[in-house]
Amino acid sequence: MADHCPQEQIAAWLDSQLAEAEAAQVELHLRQCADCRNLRDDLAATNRLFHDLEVLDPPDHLWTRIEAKLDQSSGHGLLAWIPRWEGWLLYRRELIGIAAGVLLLIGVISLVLEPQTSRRSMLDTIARIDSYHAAQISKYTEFYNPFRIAAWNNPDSNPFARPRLDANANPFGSLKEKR
Amino acid sequence: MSKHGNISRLIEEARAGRREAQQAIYELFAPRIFNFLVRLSGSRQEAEDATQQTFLAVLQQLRRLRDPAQLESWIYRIARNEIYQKFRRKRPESLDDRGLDSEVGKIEEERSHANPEKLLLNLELRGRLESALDKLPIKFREVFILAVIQGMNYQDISEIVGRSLLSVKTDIYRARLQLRAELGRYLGGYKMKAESKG
Repeated sequence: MADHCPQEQIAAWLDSQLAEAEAAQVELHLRQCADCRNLRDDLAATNRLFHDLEVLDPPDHLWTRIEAKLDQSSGHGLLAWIPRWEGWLLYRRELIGIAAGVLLLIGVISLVLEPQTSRRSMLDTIARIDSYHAAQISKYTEFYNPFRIAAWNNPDSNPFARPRLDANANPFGSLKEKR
Repeated sequence: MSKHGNISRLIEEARAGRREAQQAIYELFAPRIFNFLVRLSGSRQEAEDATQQTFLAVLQQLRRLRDPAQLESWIYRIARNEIYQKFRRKRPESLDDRGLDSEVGKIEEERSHANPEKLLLNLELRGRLESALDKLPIKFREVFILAVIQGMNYQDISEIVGRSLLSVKTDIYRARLQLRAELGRYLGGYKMKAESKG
């Protein structure tokens, strides 16, 4: 069995798909090997069975249907644009160039305009914050700045002011007395 | 003018929108494509629809074809894609009624001009062949149809199905082995003496 040719070769030989040298090799082997001859006969018989299948003709109305669809697509209407666009593919290089130019232009414009617009929006925001603060201060003068108002009305409420009013609270003061 | 020269001229004219050239392309390739699709799908109706879609796509996208020599392979590829899309949409159980819709019509058609015994034998054999073909996995079926029924060369088949030459060769052989096992009892009468070839 070792010197059998691959069986795919026999099938390919039947279909006349082998180069001359390969075909000669298969033919030589077939003359010597009864098993492979048997396989060849079976495969050839299978071929003949299928060759006998009738050839079917496409129905006559098929071209009429295709023609009608072609007319429809080359007529007017939204879908009619689709095939026409294919013609544009012929100018692919030019189209890519134009698209790149447009993108570049958009990039440059946005680079020039972007700092101006961002500065303007920053100033707007600051102005809005200022006006908000001004409104809050005028509306809640008493409470809006708790530190400032409380210290003004009641000195005791300022924790830092307290030690200064009480002599004992000053550690340096007691040292002075001991001395 | 050579065959390729003729086809190139037809393609140019069809691209320019000449209806006669478009029809000539259809008439040149439709019979083979239709037969391929009938055998592949097992349904005349589906093959008709797929053939229609195939030629619509071919004639509308003809500008995309760069090499006129590749026209036939290109049409086969489009046809194959059409039928694969149908397979994907179809539910698996409906694939079982392969060929039934066409069979009834054919019986009626042939009844009038055939001898009853021969008709019965032919019908039985054809039924067996179609059923054996249907049992093949789709990747074996398509290459077998192209190679054996349509007599196409392996290189072209490899381009159509997008697989290597070696894979195509192996698949055709496996398809034949499976069919030999399926159709064993019919082979006796068809065995030929191939010595003349050897």
